[in-house]
Amino acid sequence: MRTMRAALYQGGGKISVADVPVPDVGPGEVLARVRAEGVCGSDLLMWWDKSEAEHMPAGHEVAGEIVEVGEGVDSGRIGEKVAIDILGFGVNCADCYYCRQGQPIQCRAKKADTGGGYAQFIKRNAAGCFPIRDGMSWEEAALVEPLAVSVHACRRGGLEGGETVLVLGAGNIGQTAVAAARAMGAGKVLVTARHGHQGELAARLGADVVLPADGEQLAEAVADETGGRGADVTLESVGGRTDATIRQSIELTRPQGRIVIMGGFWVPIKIDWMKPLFKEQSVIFSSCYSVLDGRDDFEIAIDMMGSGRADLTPMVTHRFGLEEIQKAIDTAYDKSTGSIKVQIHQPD
Amino acid sequence: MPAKMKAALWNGNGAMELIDVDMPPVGPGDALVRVRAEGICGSDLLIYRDKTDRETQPAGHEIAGEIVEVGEDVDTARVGERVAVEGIGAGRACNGCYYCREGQYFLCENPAPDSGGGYAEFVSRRAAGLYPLSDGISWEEGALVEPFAVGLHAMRRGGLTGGETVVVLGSGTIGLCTTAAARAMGAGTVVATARYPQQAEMARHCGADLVVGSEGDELSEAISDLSGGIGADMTVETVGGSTDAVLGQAIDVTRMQGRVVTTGNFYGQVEIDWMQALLKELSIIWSAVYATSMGRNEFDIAIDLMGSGRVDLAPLVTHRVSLEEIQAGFDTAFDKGSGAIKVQVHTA
Repeated sequence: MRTMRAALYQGGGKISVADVPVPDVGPGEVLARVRAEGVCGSDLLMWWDKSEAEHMPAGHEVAGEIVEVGEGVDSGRIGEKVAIDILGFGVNCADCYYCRQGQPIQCRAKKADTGGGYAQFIKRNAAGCFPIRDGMSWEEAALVEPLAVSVHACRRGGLEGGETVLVLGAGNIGQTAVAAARAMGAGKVLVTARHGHQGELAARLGADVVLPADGEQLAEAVADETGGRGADVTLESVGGRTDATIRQSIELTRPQGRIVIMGGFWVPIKIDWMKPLFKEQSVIFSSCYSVLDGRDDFEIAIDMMGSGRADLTPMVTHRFGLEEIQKAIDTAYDKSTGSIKVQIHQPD
Repeated sequence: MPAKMKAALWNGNGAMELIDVDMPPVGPGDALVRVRAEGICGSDLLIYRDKTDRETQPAGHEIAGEIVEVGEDVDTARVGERVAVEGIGAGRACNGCYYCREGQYFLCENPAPDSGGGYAEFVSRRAAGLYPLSDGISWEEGALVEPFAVGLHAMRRGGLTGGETVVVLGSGTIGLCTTAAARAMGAGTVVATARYPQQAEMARHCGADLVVGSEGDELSEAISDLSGGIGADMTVETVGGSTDAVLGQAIDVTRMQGRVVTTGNFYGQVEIDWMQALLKELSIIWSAVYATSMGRNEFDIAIDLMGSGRVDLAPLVTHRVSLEEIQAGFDTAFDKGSGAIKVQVHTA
């Protein structure tokens, strides 16, 4: 049995690297050597609550190189550099109602988990491996996934050229949301940021105005920037254990504006229903990515980055080797390190 | 014109009283309408139930009548015109603010002061908010233009496209008007919930293919059966109130990436299952009254559909009372055991 190094969460905030079997490649599948893998805030949040040890590596922001193909896959793909949709097209059945509609995240017969990107190798359906463009680095390729999340949110929210977009939060998804809104034709992009380094980066990625994450100043500033009306589209990227950003969304979005929710909320959410009713707002939930109008969000994200219309490289603030994963996770948790995106790199 | 008119006002103690009040003023751009038919709306019932102070002006917003006087700058040829009165938005709109310029009169920032509604002999409004009725529309139907426009607005806010499966939660006046709007605007299968037998029968008349009870699993089982477990494309909530059960039902029966349109007034904090909505990628779209969008006002669309005979709402009117008998009208409207759907106040 072939083995590989993989990082497994041990519970209690600890993660360590162990030898695990290399997954077997079945028909329609490929094996990729992982070159770059991003640490995502949702990994951190899930681990926070988890006390038992994992048996499979997590990690869903994966870029790598195809090294082996299964039956029925073009062997010409060996050597291809890919960004991997590991949650949808990488594991879907391709046959159920949702797969037929291009919504593999909702697939009702997903394959069993064979592990994510915190490992030397990863196995997925070939159809979930999207070729990156020449000139894109591994580092950028591992940002395709979080950019696709935000591209999906802009598309779910029906962003039209010239509209004022308010991005709530300047973590990873907030940053990719700024870049996506800018690349997709937003007029003015406003962003709220809790930390100074987040605000500076958002401005580099295309935000016109950086606002404080809370307080009275925020509402006043949004009113000033929008003629008193509020944003046309608000992209909520925070989630968490309070409803603060939901309240902000309703307050800061214009009448008949759209609020797109990307953040996961782990508390019951109560809403004063009459406020959004009288403002006739829409709350649009947006989860991961999919095919909409004949285009996969991964493809759009790759085009955006490959063409230079979205340069996300400044997002990556820290790089670690797989064996240093504990340090990587600690750095990602501790925003005082100046971390935005922490990645695990395996150049060879 | 006489200086005084009869109007029905809430006495703050459980009853409507008929008293003499001043005629409403007719300013520049206004017209005075003799009220011919006025519908009693569920929202009036709910508002009155909680109100302990005496009204100073009559309410009533489902109005049809005849123009009897015009103010300065209004074409005198409009005297004698039969109209549906849009008394909430266009009838009071300033026509100068941002929202008026966008056709969103309900959101007008400087509406004219309320000069009283339709529970009276006369009502005064901006002539721009008086929509001419086609010849074949009776007064009774004319007073149904307003609730029908609410149903049309819900369809347009929700972006109904031809052939879609629509669920209408509730078969009160707004529910029935929404069912009729869905049918007229090209829905495929329309499923309605109803609490009372007269509502169920009327929902079928309005175009529902299937009517189920409003409690328990009846609806979710029916939708699951007819959609192969997928869910409805669009669900319109028309109930409101002080419990959130109907919103849970809406989230439950709507398909992944479907739309939930909510038109009901909910009082107090409303809790919804945010994570279910996120993972299903729903859109929750609030819809309040009516507006002009895509170059068409919903009052005009309502009048066209009713006038051409494509929509027959006349059977909704189950009871008619005179202004003097208005208290009996309210009692009948409150007591659904009376068989009431729409109770109207008619003046000869």
